Amino acid sequence: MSEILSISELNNVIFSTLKKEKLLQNCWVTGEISNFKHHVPSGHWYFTLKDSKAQIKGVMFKGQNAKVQFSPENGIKVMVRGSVRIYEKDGAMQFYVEEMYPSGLGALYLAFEQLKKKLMDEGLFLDDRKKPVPRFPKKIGIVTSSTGAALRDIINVARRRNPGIGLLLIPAAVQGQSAPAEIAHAINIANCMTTVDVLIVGRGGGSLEELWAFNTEIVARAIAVSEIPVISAVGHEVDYTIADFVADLRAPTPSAAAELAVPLLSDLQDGLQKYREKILLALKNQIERKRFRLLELERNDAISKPLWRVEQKRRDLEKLTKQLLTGMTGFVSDRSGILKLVSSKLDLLSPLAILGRGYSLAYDSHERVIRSIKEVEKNSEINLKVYDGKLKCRVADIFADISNE
Amino acid sequence: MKKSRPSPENFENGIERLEQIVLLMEKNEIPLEQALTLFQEGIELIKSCNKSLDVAEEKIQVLLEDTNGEFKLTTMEKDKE
Repeated sequence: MSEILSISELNNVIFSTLKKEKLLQNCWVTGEISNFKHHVPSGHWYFTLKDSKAQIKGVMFKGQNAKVQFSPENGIKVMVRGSVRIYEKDGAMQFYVEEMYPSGLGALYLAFEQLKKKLMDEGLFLDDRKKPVPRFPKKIGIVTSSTGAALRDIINVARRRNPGIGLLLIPAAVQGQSAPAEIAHAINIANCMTTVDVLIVGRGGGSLEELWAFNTEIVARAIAVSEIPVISAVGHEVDYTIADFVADLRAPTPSAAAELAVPLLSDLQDGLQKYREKILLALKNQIERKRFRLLELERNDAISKPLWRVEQKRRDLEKLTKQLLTGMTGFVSDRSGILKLVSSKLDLLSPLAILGRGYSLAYDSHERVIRSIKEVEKNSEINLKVYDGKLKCRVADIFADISNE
Repeated sequence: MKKSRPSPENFENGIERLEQIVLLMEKNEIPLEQALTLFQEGIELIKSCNKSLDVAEEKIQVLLEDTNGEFKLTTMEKDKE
């Protein structure tokens, strides 16, 4: 009979045996999740991992499960790394998971939807976060694999559109485990260490698994914080990745990205030619307008000959002066006759002569001539001027002439 | 809102100013001297913009990082283009 073990000893042997088996201490395992429980106070995950024939209990503690990029659900396939251990106290054997990833299409789609919702809720896909792609870039940055077809396509299209455009490659793996970190890092150093005006980030076509790096959070966030505008260029027209949602502009393919980033040289040259024509025409029009106005002014006499009125007047004056002079000479030769006539006329009109004929002039006390009875009051003092002197009188009575009213 | 990087000075600013000049010259009647000055400026801008487009084909640059975190800017070999 061999040794009789206690239960503790038995479990201990199992424990040590497991510990000695290197594979069981660190292995990758794939299986479907069921009986998933997220334990609330502790934050630990308890579940069963199974395939069609067998299953094993699993646990993932809070410290590790916090890093998992998606929320596992029953029925989805996962890929996990961890170790097998026995809990000596109850002999229960469990797979202790340290890393967990979605596996298989179903799991990938789930992870995709979960991350998409999470980032959308943060507002990372909003239109007003998107920066405009520069119209006239001098240098284009490219984040892609140095060996892939995408790089070749981008270079060909870019050079064809403008041979002088600057191109700078920041190489990064675009599939596999290291891809997400490499792509994110490339975007970051493009921002810190280069002077490119726009970044094209992408890769050629492939399966969902092959494009997976562009659906990871680390790449999405690197694009989101990039100060250089980012054009995403992943796969084919039908492929939409999270990178496409976060980017400032989505291109359906890498070639299309080059078309979006690089303006046609001929377009730029044509544009400049148009400006040349426009300003030439504008200058011509400005000059024409001025010339027209000048012509109008010349036509309008009033303005082109500002002194014409004076001229007119001067001419009239000359005519009159001539007339006057001829008139004057006639006048002077006939002097004696006219003068006699004029002087006798004047005589008749002279105030003294009028007084001599018997008329008198009435004045009030203010030396004002009295012309009407209305200007005088009864008993007031008035003066009478006669031919040879002055009489001081008092108004005895006033009578109105009816015929003179 | 994130701030965007400064765009290439010569060409983009040149186009903006040209757009302005055209607007000014096409608007109403402006003093002849101003029209001539703007015209002059426009022609000069078009000349310099055209010049900046006359860039020769450059080699493709590659930014590489070694294991020490040091960066090196090289050009791509001809056969890879």
